[in-house]
Amino acid sequence: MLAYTLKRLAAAVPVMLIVAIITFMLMHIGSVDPASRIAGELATPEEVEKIRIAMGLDRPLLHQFVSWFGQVLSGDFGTSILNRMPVLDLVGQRIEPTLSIALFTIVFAVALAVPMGVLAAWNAGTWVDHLIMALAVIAFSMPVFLVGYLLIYQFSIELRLLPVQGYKPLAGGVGPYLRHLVLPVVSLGLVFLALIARMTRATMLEVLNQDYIRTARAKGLGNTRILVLHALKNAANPIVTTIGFGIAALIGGVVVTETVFAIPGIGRLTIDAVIRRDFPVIQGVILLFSAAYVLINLAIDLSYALFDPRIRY
Amino acid sequence: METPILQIDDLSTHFFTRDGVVRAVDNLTCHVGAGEALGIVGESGCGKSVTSLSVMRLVQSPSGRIVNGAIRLQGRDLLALSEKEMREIRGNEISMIFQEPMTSLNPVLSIGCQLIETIRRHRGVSGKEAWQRAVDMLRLVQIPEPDQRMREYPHQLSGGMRQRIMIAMAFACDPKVLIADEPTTALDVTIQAQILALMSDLQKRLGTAVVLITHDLGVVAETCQRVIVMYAGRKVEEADVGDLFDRPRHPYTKGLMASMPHLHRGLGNGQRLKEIPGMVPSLLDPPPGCRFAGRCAHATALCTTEEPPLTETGPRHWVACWHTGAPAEVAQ
Repeated sequence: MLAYTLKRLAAAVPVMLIVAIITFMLMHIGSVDPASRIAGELATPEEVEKIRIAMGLDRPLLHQFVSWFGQVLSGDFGTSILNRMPVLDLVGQRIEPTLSIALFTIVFAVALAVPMGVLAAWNAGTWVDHLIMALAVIAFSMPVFLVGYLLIYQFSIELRLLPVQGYKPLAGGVGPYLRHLVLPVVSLGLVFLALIARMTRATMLEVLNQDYIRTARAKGLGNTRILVLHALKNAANPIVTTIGFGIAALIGGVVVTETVFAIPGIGRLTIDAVIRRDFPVIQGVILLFSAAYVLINLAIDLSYALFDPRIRY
Repeated sequence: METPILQIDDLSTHFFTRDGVVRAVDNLTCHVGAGEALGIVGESGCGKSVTSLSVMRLVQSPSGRIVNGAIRLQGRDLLALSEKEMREIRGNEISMIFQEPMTSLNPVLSIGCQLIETIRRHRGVSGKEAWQRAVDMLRLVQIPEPDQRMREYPHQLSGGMRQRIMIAMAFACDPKVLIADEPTTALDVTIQAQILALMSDLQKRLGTAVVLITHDLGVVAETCQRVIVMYAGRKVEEADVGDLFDRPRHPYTKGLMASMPHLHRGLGNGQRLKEIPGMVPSLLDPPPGCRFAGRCAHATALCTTEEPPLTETGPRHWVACWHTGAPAEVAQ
């Protein structure tokens, strides 16, 4: 298990290197010259040239890449062009809301989707199944921003139950923190929920037709034990895989959600950086997300062994 | 005769499909006495497995349904029980062994877990006592190093081992009736013999009534006292084992026997084993009359119009055929 983990981490190095190269090239293939971007709109050509030399942008690309990558490896992701703050500090300031939304979305979606999928599979072909799957299709077909605005309209404006938008840090009390998270989490989580519910249903249907389920019934076991222990444990791996894919997809969804709910998270940071061509911030965020993605995938692969004794690393 | 442990009366199990009603089991009556082994023989698709699943009330619903009859376990009608009461019977008073040892055990649960859950389900014992009982059962089915096997998973064991574990599981709660659905079909011939010997031994020692479902007459000859031959969902012949092998009456039974190779009556050069021509008819709208008529060399007009009743042609020997009156001629 440890050897496998180390091997996988080693295999992640070339992946991250490729991501780094692409990220680095972003600055140089775009239509905007970073030097003039930093110098500002009122700068003279001489000033721009000075900045170019000061930042080393006149040197060969490979040279620039090596020195940039060296800095990244030592933990220096550069400084924001806009507000001169180190990129890592900026990310650090914005990470709490994003992590909170992501974490609660995963919990919300998984906690509802798995029971729904199991229930649908157990009642396959009946109205329970049809109802759950119809809801899943609806949830799956609605984009985050539409769901977000509909929820805001209903629960914040009409019923006045929840805040319209914004974010309150955990340090300011659990109550306000949670109240501000409900709508973003629900609107982001619905698609995720639908995806997992469908996958759970499909996998469970297959598992429930297996011989060992018949054996379990022939032993006189109750439905709950059969469903949860005998069937769900067998169905776990495809479901966990889907959850992993979903987490990757969440990264995109978080950006939209944070915009809809005006939440100062990584997503907003990214959008602002993209709009203003703040290259160091864009590069830093992409690298961090990629690293997170690689680690999540590794965690999922390792979790397979947890459910299936036939898988050993 | 004493009252049988398991009595099946007029059992009909049908499947309601989009194309129509499949009469998988039609008016089957049979019984098993205490300590007795009953064989149910027939080709694939003749209703043997559906019969066993009907007794367990595990027929695939909603398409499959027991439409008629009674199944009595020591006089108690199982068909009248609620699903909850039925769960108390399954694995406890009636247990079952399935054909495929490779897929019948749960791959992600340890052997110990699967044995113990059965014991704890039906006997209110502590985890430790259940563990001990499980180890004893593994020892009983002659599994070496039972303590270690308890912690292993099905994929670490061979097919024969897994079937032994299924047997251990089936006997774990001292069932009154054991239903074995083709328990040796998926195994090597040498392992088959071991498994059959083990089952017979346990049956005698524990006094369990056994219903052995198989398509292999050889297996029946070795293990059973009485045999039912099923064809297309119906019982066509029932007799004591020796009687059936000596004096088969139904043309289908004779066909089955003729298609078996014999050690002493070797085949001449280039001679083939006799096969029964044709296939089991579709159980969807079966033809009127005798269901075997289409494949029977002796079929007459009567056979295709009227269904032959079961008649006792000898002591404890029943046949459903219009032409058993002159068995000698039919046999030729």
